[in-house]
Amino acid sequence: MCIAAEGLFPCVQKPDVDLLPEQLVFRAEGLGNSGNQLYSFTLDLFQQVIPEETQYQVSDRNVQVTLTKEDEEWWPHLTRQKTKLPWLRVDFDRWRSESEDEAEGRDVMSDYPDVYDRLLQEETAPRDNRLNNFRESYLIMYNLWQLLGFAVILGKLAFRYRLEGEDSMLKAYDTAGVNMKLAQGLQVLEILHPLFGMTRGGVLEPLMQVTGRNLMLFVVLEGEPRMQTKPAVFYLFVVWSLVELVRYPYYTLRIIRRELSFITWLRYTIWIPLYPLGFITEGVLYLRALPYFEETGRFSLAMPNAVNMAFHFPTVLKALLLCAFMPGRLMVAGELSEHCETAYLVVMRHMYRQRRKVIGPAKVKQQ
Amino acid sequence: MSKVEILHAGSGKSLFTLNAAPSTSILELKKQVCEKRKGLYPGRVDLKPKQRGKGYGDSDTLASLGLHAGTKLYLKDLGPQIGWVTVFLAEYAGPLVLYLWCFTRPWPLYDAGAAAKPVTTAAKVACACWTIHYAKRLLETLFVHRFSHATMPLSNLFKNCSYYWGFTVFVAYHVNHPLFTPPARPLFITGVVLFTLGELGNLSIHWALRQLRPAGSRVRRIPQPTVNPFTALFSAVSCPNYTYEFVSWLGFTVMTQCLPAGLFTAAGMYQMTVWALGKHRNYKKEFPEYPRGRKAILPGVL
Repeated sequence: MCIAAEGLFPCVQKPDVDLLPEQLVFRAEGLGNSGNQLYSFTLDLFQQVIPEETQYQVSDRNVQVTLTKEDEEWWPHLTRQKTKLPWLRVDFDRWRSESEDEAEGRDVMSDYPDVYDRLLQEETAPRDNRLNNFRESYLIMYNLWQLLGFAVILGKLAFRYRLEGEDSMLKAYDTAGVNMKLAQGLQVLEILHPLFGMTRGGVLEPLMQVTGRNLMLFVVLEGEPRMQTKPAVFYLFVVWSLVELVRYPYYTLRIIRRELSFITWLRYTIWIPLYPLGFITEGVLYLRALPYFEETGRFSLAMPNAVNMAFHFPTVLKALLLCAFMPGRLMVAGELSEHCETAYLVVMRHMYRQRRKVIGPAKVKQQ
Repeated sequence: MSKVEILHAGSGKSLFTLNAAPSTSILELKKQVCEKRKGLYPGRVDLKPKQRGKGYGDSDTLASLGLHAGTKLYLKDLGPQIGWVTVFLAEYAGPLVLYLWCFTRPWPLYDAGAAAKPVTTAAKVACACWTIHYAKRLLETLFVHRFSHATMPLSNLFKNCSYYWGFTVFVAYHVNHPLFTPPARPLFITGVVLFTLGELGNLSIHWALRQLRPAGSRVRRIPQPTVNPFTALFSAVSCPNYTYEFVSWLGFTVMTQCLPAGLFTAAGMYQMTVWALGKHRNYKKEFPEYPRGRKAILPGVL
């Protein structure tokens, strides 16, 4: 009864196989990335083998070791411990199971389907399967929590509107401000997700969205109470919430590898009215905020001071608005300069390209 | 005569074929490309073996690269080019002129009457230091450096000048402000000393690198310490010129106690670290005998 073990190495010299009754020790010199090194491993075998009857063959690409078992028995695994070694793989071509002795042509797969499936799953699935499950569970929970948060915001605003009518539009910040700050504050995580490889996609897009929104919410609105009663805040909260109400379900479906075509369509269409509405609303709020910050001097730093720096917040805000809102690109020396595009143009074009990729261009009428 | 097929690097489409012999150089091929495509000149043409990646050097021949008949080369238009020396001169002349202009407290930046107010010693010394630094850079560009490349894309000119000129006004506005408060004497002296050491060190390294490379050549050799004590830093880092540059700007920040100067130092350090890591990696790849203990930019750290 034999076990065949195969090792694959880039370029092996002087392989040395040592067999103790319960251990296989392999040593060799190899030419790897760091030059000539000594490689070795030790396997604790499940049960005893007969060292004298061990054979090994060295070919160009591998070393084949054939072990002869002491007792004629089936081993559930090669090693004494049940834990799976990351570099040890089953060669299913040579896999033999118990009842094969009688009929050679039988299908191995049907003998122990559970065992085979589990082994196949373990061999071919990502190494860190448990980690992957944690990642997916966490992301699903995050997306659903945020979805709930924004649904609550919309719900509160709608409820108060029903009760008080148009008057409630001046009190949007009072109604849903805390909820919005919580939800938007938490969105910082969406920058960390791609940064730590938990989701695909770039870091730049979430960074831009989160920074833009948090600047509006935590600096401009929070920093000036007179801004909080502007009706534009109502529209702002509604637009932001509507976008998220589609985005989070879409992400959740992606994670569980399902698709609802309606959600996908919404995801790639709803930005067409909502993004421009959002830009306009934010633009209006920034413009209205400027005189207040000139007056109060909040977030501004005047000289003299210990760091010898002057910071005039309204001026900086105006510069930011210029960069973000002015349409078009700069023509530089007859060449289009990629670097000087406005933020919103970039975002709109990105969504448009995504839409074409996912939904496709308008279908041509068939004859 | 064999055929070389030229493909567009962006799309992968076949464009045309050129005639070539094994002794034909890449530069000659580029000239042929320019005859087929108006508006191109060899300086902005890149011919490369794969769609992405670096192009071949002008002086290489088909034979020396091991390329045979029917080989394919990808063509990339690098865009309008500008000479490296031109870019450097523009980058450094701006800060020199702009800082001196800000020193006079001109009306676009300051209130009327600001120019008449007293100027602290610290602000005067800072102005002198800044001027010395950029004058030194201009002179080095003209007389010391031996550049590896002749040209760079035109868009770099605008990017680099925006960075240097923008930061100059940002720093100069604050240091020359009538309400500027200088740091305490000991800090000020420390800053000046650091700045001086940094400048001398940086110059020493540039000079040593010049000695390492013969005139008109583009060879690269492992830099080693020389008789100049400042070059001893070569034993610790691959790019001591950047290390000394950081020390200079640290000195400037300390002598002015100015946050904009600190931000400028940080931004410069970040960029220089990126460059140093790249150079360090290239050195190690090119020279298997490259000394092990050396770091890229900060001794013992990075």
